[in-house]
This record gives sequence, structure tokens and C-alpha cells, in this order.
Amino acid sequence: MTTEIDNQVSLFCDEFKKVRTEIGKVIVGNEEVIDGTLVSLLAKGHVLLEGIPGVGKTKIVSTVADVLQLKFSRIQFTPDLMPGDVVGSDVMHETDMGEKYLAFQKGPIFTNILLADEINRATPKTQSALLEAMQERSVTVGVTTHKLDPPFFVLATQNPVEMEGTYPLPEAQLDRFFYKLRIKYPESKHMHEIMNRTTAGSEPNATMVLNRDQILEMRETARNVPIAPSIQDYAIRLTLATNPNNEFTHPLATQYVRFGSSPRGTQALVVGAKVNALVSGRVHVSCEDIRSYFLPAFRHRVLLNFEGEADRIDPDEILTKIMNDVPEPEE
Amino acid sequence: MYSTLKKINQRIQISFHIDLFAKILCATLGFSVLLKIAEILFPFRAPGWEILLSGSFCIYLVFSIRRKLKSEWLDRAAGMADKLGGLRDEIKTAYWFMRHPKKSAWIDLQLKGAAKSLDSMKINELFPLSVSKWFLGVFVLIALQVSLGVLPNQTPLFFSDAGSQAPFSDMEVQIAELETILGSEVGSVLEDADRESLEEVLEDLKADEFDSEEVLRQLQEAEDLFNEESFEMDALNQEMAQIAEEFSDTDDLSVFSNSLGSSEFGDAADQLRELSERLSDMTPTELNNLEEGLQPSQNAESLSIEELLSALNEAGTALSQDEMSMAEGALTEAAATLDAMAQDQNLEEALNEAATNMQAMSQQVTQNANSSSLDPEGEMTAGSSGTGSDEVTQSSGGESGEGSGPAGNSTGAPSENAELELGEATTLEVQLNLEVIEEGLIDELPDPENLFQGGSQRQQSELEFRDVNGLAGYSPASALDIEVVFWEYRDLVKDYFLGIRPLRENDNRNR
Repeated sequence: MTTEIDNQVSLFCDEFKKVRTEIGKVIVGNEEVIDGTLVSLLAKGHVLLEGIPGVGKTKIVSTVADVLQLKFSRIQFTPDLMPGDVVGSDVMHETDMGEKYLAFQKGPIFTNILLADEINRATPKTQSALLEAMQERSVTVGVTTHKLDPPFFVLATQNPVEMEGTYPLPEAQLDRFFYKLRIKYPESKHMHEIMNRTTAGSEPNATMVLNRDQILEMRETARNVPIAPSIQDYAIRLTLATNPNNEFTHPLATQYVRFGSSPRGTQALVVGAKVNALVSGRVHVSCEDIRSYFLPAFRHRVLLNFEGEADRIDPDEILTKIMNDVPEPEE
Repeated sequence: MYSTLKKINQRIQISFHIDLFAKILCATLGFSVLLKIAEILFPFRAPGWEILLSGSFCIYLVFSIRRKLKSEWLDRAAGMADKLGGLRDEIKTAYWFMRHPKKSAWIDLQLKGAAKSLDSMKINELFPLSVSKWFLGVFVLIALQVSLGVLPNQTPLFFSDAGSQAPFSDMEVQIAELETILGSEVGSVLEDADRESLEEVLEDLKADEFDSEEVLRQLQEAEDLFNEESFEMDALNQEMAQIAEEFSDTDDLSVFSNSLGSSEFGDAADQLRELSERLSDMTPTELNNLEEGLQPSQNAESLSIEELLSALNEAGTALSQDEMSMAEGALTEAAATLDAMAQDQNLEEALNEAATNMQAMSQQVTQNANSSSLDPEGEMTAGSSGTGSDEVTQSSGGESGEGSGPAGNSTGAPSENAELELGEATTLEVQLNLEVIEEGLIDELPDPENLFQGGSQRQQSELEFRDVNGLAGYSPASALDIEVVFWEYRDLVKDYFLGIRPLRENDNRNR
């Protein structure tokens, strides 16, 4: 039995590395974003990618879709996009006999990987159309609920909120994203590599390396990784430290935070840590695994109060301080 | 896995105890060195080594027991193994699952992996039993301690009275000595009432609750009493020295003569007794010489010397009449007289000592009273009992500067006929004036803009919101009324809204 698990673990590790290498053929740098995206996919989560235009958000998503043998759809969010454009709608059909009837026309959301490009350019109403799909993996139109095929993975991109013509995502919507990953501006050496790959001859392409069943199997494997209660307690203390008014509250949270992370954030921490442990070839979760995706899991779940907004505090600053200050389980 | 964890734990515990021991030793020595330095600088007597070592041992015991009481010691060993072995919480997780077994192939695999990692761990290298670095500090502090011990005892550099070399704790020593004296025969020279009164004073002094004037008066009375009871031993000694010369010519009395001359009456008495025992063995010639030697020509003024000479004369007469037993009896009687003189001599010394003690205590009480009545500027304040040239002057309520003097300051000048007698109560009149801010000072108030920036830098505005509009110039105030807030007014607007924000429960702001 243990040999079988051993094989599962090494297979998981190998396949993850294979996907990463394949994506790395197209995407230069941004290893953290790629790893975060894959961890999120294997932890049954969704990812929000944030970055200024032109840093490769959409490219990352399309490359991920390329290496996975899954159905892929893309929705370009615009201010005039309607919820029906996302989930689909009942459309009038006519039979050969001339009878008219309403049939549900599936929207682009009925896919495995959904690229919600520039999600913050759509109105909150349209953004909210994704809520049920992201959490329940189903879409309700009228009185009919349509199940989505697993795996359902939303990769949304957004420009920084301060930019013109954008609508901040509602808190409920934000909370449904497993990770919020920030794409950094590439360094000089990466810029050279990007120029070399994209401005001369043919552009590199990624090949498909993982199919749907493998992904589903990997998802199940990740959930089985055991975690010691003391490590779980560490994740919980980190979560509580982001919330004002409890025994573990961090002083910065008291000063600048209106609402801290939800329990969904703790789930993201723990499941993400389990995937991360497997990727490292381990069958146990460590505190380091918890910390490794603390910022992506919590940065969009921490809502600043007026003082935090006025002082232009970046949630990452608060979270980094919390991560440094909350002690690991006692040695 | 348990056995490996226990082995790790043993090594951790040993290292901990060595380290703890070294740290506590270091702290004790450090503290001891500080006390030593304090002894040099201040009039202070440090506690002995025994107290410090006992204290340190108690601290060591408390820490050791506290650590022993913690039940999760193997948990800690697992944590340390993870940390030092770079195992990313593998052992800690495995140890938890060992204590809380679950039927899972994943957990079995994890336990196997952890056991394998522990087996491959080089425990002796990762958990070495090394000597704590704190021992270096211990050696340095011991060296320092030794060098400080070599320094000669010297007067404290600070807070020591130049007129008194004795440390303040001498009072306790003097009280103890005086109690011993009172308990001895010296106390018997005092009448019961005087002795009881003196004992009460000593009790008050010990309890540090006394009226300086009353104590001084009683000590003075006791000193006078002791002086009165003096036996005037000096005059007696001088007279005895003159008489002693007359005995020096006789061989058998030369030692006796020396003892008398040096006022060692006890020794002289012993020599007379010895002489009386030897009388029967003496030759007639020796007896003749002794007979002549025992009859001095001088007359004595002092009664006790007269008694002595009379007894010696009687002994001489008895010898001339060959009445040996009578001579022996007379010599024994003379020896008894000398014994009584020796006792008087001792009593005299004790009385002198008691008088000196009284004097020293009087000085001590006076000094303490003076030092306690000094104000922080070193001025003598009313109610203190000064001695000698310490004169206390009474300050009368003088005129205060109109509206300009800080409230509460004494502005009165001492009057001419204000000399006080020792111990007389005095009063200090203080006239309080309201602080008046002159109109010109308003211009010195800080610039409103700086005021806001200061508040913003503190991240906590202490400005009442209603003051914002009142103190701000046109531009900052108008910033609150427009939709777009300019960057430079951002802090102002923030402070404004924070200022009018209702307080929440558990608000971190101290408003």
C-alpha cells in the first residue's frame, strides 16, 4: 500500500515538474506565478492574476491551457458584457414542424479552463455571474441548474484597480479566488529572453502533457496528504492574526484592517500547503509550506479600513509583518 | 523512533542545564560585581556570597523544575530535530501521529519516512554536548571579582559625609553595643528610671520611629550620667605610679612595682598572692628585705590606695614580728584591694565607652535628621533640627511678581528677625498666582499647517475636529469642501475624518 502511495507521490511530483518545464518554454521568469497557478488548479481553486498591461497575464493562462488537455474558453470582459454572455441563456428554437421552444444555449463558462480576461473591466453585475460557478461548480439559469464538468478552473486577469475604467471586484467574488497572484514587471535579463523568443523566427509552443483524468487524480492525491494539528493550528493563528478583535490579532490588523481573511482563506492555505508538500516529494505539511503561499492566499481577502486606505497601505506589507511575527508551533 | 527522540532529548536537556547553569552563574557574578562596585561608590554593604549563591541556586531549581514539568519534552526534541536536520516538520508530524494513531496508508508512509530520516541523522554532530559560551563570561567576571577584592577598602566616593567615616549602618552597631553595655554592670550605675528611658530610646531608634530632639536630649542626659559616674582613674593611676617606685628597690617586689606603675592592678594582685605563698620558703635575709620594702614612706590621697598601703604596712609589721600567717593574710587583703581597683578600672573604661557611644549616636541622629530635611536643592527646610551652625530661617510671604511668576513658586524673602532655635517649627508661605498668557505670546503658537503635519506624522491626531476649520487657513479648510483632495491635503483630510469618527469598541486609538 505504501509503495502505491510512494508511486503516486513521485508521479505527482514528476507530472507537476513536467508541466512547469513545458510552460517555462513559453513563459520567461514568473516561476512563482506559474507554480501558484498550478497549485491552485490542483487544489481545486481559481486564480486571479494581477498586473499591468503587457506583462504576459493572458499569455500565461493560454500557455497553461495549452499544456493541459482540457476545454478552454476565453471571455474578454468589457463594461457592456452581460451576465447572459457569460453563463448562457435560453434561446428560442424552431422545430422542423414550425414549433417554437426555448433551449438553453450554454455560455463560454461551460468549459474546463475559463480565462476571464480583464475581469475588472466588467460591471459588478457581470462579475457576479461567476460567483455560483466558481463556488458550486454549477450555473443556474431560470429554474434549471446546470453542472459544470470537472475540473472547472477560472483564471481571471485584472489590471490594477487604480487604472481608468475598471470596477473593483466585489468582496464575495474576491473571496472565491484561491490565490491572487501578482505578475511582476520582468527583470532586464528576462526582457532579453522575451525579446529573443518573440521577435525572431517562430515563437516557442508548449505541448500538451497532462490530461483531464491525470489532473483529477492529482487533485485527489493532494487532499490525502496528512497535516499535523500543530501545523494546522499555525495556519489558523495566521488567519486570526489578520482579523481585528480577537486574541491573536496583530497590531497592524487592528490599525489598518476592517475585515481579515475568511475561513476559506485558511482552507486555501492548508490545501495549497498540501500540494506544495507533494511537489517537494513530501507526504507531510510543514510550516514552510503554509508560509510559501500565505501572501497569494490572503492578499485579496484582507480589506483595509479607512485609515489603511488613506495611508495607502499595501495588504502585502501587513501580511508580511504578520507572517514574520506569528511564531511557529513551539519547539 | 522513540529511543532516538529520547536520546536527542537527553542531549538537549544536558546542554540546556549546562547553559542554564552558566547563565545563572554569569548573572550572579555580574550582580556580585555590580554590588562590589556599588560598595566602592556608595555607602552600602553588599549581601554576602552565601545569600547570592543560595538565590542563584533557587533560580536554577525553579527553571529546572519548570522545564521538567513541561510534558511535551519529546515534542520539543522532535521540533529541534526538524530544525537542525532541515526536515521541515517531518519528525514533529510523525511524533504527533505516533501519539494519535490513525489507520491510513499515508500516515504509515509518513512515519516510515520520518523514522528513516531520524536514523540517518547524525545526532552527535547535530546535538553536541559543548561547553556553554557563557562560561567565558563566568571566567571574565571571576577575574573582575578577584581584582575588585584586591582593592583596599576605601571610603565611598559618593553620598558619604566627610565628617563621618562610618557607614550609615553604624547606628545599628552602636545600638547593639549600647544594649550590651546596658545589660552589663555598667547599666547598674544608672537608676531604674534612667535605664528604662534609655532602653525606650534604643527601641525607637531601632524601629526608626523617633523624635530627633527628644532622642538627642535623652542621649545627652545618659552621656552626662555616665561621665558623672567616672572613677577618675587618671588621677589614681598617676598617684599609684609614684608609689610604685618605692617598691622597685626590693628584689621580690620589683615585678609588683612594674605592674602597679603600668596600672595593671589585676596582675599586681596575682603577684601579691604569689608572694604570700612564697613567704614560708624565704630566707631570713629575704624576709628582712621584704619587710622594709613593704613599708613605703609616702601617704596616699586616694582612699583605695590608702587601703592598699595600709594592708602592705600591716604585712611588713607582721613579718617583723615573725607572724607569718598574719603577714600572709595582710598580703591577701592587699591583693583583694587591688582586685577591687582593677574592677573599678574596667567599669571606668566601660563607662567611657558608653559615653562615647552616646556621643556618636547623638551625632548620627543629628546627621540623619539634617539629611532627611534637606530639599532636592540642598536647602534646609522648616521643621528640621539643625545643629551647630545650621541655622534655619523663616521665609515670610513676600510680594510676588504680578502675573509673571510661575504659580506655586515661593517668592517671599527671609525676614531679618527670623532666626530660629533648634527644633522650632517653621512655616513656608507660598502665594499662588494665576498664569496669565500675554497677548504677544499668542503669536508664538505653532503655524497651523505645521500643527497638522505634526499630527499626521504621529499617525494620531490630537486635534479636535472643530479646530480644523478654526485654525486652518483658507486653502486647507476649503480642501474639505471639494470633491478631489489634493495630495498635499490628504493627511489633513485623513486627520479630519479620523477626528470626527465615532469611537469603536476596542479602538486602538487612545483618544
